[in-house]
Amino acid sequence: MNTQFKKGVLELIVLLSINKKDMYGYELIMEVSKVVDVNDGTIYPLLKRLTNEKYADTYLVESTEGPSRKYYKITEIGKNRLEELSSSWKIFEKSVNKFIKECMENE
Amino acid sequence: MNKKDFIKELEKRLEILDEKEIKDIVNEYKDIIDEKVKSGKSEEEAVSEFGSIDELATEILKAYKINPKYSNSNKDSLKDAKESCEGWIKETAKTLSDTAKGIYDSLKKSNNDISVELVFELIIKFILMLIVLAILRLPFEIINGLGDSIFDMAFYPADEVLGLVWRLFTSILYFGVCILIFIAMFKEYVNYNQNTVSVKETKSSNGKKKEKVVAFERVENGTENVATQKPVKGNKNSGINSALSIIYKLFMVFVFLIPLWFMQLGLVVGLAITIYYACIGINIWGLVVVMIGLVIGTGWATDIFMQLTFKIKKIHFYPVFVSLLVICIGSLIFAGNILSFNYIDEAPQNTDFEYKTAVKEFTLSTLAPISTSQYDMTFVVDPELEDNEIRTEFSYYENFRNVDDISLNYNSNSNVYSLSYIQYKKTDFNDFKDSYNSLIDNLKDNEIYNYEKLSDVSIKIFANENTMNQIKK
Repeated sequence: MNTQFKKGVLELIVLLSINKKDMYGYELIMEVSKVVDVNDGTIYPLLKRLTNEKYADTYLVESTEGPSRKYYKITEIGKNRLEELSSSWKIFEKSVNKFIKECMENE
Repeated sequence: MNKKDFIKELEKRLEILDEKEIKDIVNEYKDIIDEKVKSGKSEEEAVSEFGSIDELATEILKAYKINPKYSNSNKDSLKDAKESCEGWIKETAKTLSDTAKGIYDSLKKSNNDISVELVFELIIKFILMLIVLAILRLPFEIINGLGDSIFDMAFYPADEVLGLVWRLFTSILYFGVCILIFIAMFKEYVNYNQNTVSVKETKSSNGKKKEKVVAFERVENGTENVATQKPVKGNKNSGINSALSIIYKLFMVFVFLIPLWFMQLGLVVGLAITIYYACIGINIWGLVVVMIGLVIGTGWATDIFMQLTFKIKKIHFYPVFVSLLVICIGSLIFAGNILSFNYIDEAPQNTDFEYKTAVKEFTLSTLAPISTSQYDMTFVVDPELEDNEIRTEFSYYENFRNVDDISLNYNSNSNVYSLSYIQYKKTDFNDFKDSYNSLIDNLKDNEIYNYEKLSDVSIKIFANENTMNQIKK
């Protein structure tokens, strides 16, 4: 899959994941890799950008094993963004599917 | 790469960020690696799943809206300057070699191991090195001249000896710098010749990586419209900029930094000398304080120019106040020191110096005046002498002067006598030592004598009253 394309979708997937429940870094990687095959390294910069743009908040949770974990939580602005992204994804998906269909029929 | 190396590399690349932020990021990655290890992967595997560390660091910095190129150039601007300088040399060499290659290939098709490009690169580098060394000669010449003019103030033969030592010292220094520059410029070629293949391989892989990153950036610019992104270094557009920055840096280094470094070197040597003399009992502590102030001051100035040259942002101003304060206090103390010295306009008294008087008598055939234009002469009346008879006395310190060939010549055209003699400077080390010791002793007693007078020759001319009236006009 194209890197740029993947990156756009990645934001949507991450927002969807943390909308479901608060997650920490590794958990998110596991979650995202269920859907897209992506470099583990690229998740963190994305998370950083999301927190910078106030789409996500972070908080620390003491862990019984090892150091404390940083959890990511979606904000209200983040939810709006998610809304925006998912609706444009749906439109995009629909139009692409429609186009595929047309092409197939013409064949 | 294992976890430790990965973390270290990552920290290095994110150096531009706040320390707390770096720690935060690094902790996140540590956690991820630890989790992966727990799930049964090796550290190496976990790290490799992050992809290329270059891309990773670039991505992280971009999340902070930092131009990834800036972090590199700021971190080690000297290295950067060197790299872009090399890039420029290689490019020039390439264009030159491309044109030459055409001619070369058409003339002779051979499978030569050494590429034309490399030869041109070497030639250009060599010429560049010669220019650098020639420019470098300038500050050394200035330092030489400065030393000479300082040592000229010392009396003979100290000036010659110190001057020679100084010139020797600077020459060795210059030679050392030349060798260092030569090694720095040509070190890579020694390796290049030994294993040409491996170097070529890494070179090409570097090139590929660069291309990749550039392409990547271009896509980025197109889709996200990030204005701050600039193509990574090595690109032609930034070539002109880096060339300008190299010229600027070279200018700063040669016009300000090198002279300042030498000034500091000289001041530190001067400080050591003044401390030594202050310790053996000469009252010049004020000068020591002034020197300390000057060392701090030039240190600060060097720092400022370093920062201006290599664009480091923090500039402290307190050293300049400290140095001014120290210089002021030192000047006051030194003025007090100087006032406590007595200047005695005589040759220093020392039993080791032998005052000699050379006497020669003449009988004048004609009575005519003796020319006084050449030397300082004193006329003394001596009634014991007969008419037409004169006696000349030359007095001098035997340790420093020698007078010979005294003669009195009559010039019939202008009807005057002229006195002539030959005087020698003496260069005996023991006498130098004696005068040095007497200088130090006198300075300890807060006395300064006129050392010039040690090499003076005083001339006295004796005659009876009758003759004197004739010869003194």
